[in-house]
Amino acid sequence: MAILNKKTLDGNVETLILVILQEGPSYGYEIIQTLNDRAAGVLRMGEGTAYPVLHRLEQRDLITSQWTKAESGRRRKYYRLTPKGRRAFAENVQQWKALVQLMQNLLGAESVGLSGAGE
Amino acid sequence: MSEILESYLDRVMVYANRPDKEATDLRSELRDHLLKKIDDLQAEGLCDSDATYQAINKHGHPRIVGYGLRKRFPLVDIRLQGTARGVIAIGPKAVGIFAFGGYTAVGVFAFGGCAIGVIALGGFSAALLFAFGGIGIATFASGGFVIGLLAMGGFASGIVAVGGYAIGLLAEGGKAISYFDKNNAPAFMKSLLIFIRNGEAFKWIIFTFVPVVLVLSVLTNIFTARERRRIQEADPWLQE
Repeated sequence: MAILNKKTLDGNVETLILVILQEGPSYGYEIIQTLNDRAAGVLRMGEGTAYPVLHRLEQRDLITSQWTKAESGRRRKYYRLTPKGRRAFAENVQQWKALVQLMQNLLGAESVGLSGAGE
Repeated sequence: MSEILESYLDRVMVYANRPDKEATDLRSELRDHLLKKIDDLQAEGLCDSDATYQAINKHGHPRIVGYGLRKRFPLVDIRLQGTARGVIAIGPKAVGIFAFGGYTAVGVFAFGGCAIGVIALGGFSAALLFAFGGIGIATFASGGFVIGLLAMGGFASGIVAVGGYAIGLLAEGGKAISYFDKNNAPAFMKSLLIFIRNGEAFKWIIFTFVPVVLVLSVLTNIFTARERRRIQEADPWLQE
């Protein structure tokens, strides 16, 4: 499986982060770890590169943040989706389903291993 | 090892260049990330120093991380590498209302090696309104090799063109290829030609844009040098 390059990834990192936060509040390190774990080698996200995206999402009111005390005693910043973020996430999912469907139609579901992904 | 960690964060924050309150929160967030990473690496069996170095290494170069954490489109953005974006943007590449780029500049007012804007000054300049440079393309273009509705330069091509070599609907110069004869050309073309021919336009350009280019070159260099000094004063080892 090829590794996603920066060009392909650009513009989609926000959606990836929204996917993680849609499952519940999380903090930067955990978000990146979860993404890299689930990516199964397709994605290698630089750890420092996620924070500009998180802050951008926060500026656009798609997510909100809150400082809490972690079990280690350190201050930790948790992010969660806002209602606006949930709507944006739902829209992105629809867009992605349409794109996957298009790719299936053009390339053939079996040749790209996407069967069932657009359902 | 915490000294190394703090030193890394110092470097990131120099590039991030945020106000104090924001910088404190940002630093806390990054510190928590790195300490958590170090904890996890130590749990995998790495010693303290190896874990620290690896955590920093995976986090990324301070310049890349720091520049990424800068405010989006601030009033002034000055960068020594990459693309500066701001109302006033100064950098190797610049995008802004007023963009000053060493290599490329895109903005309402753009100044740089390759400048694109409403008003563009540069080696290669393309503009909606006015371009001044070695090669210029604009409504009104002036320079060495220029194309525009109104073009004036060494080689000029346009509706009305004046230059050493001029090609246009109405052209005049050392060697000119003109569609209209000077007597039967539309009145507005003749007016423009007279405006250029009697030297008014040329004087206006010389006395306005040449000083502007010189002043902007000096200012861009001063601000870039100040930014370089700011970074080097914060950390002498942090060479660009």
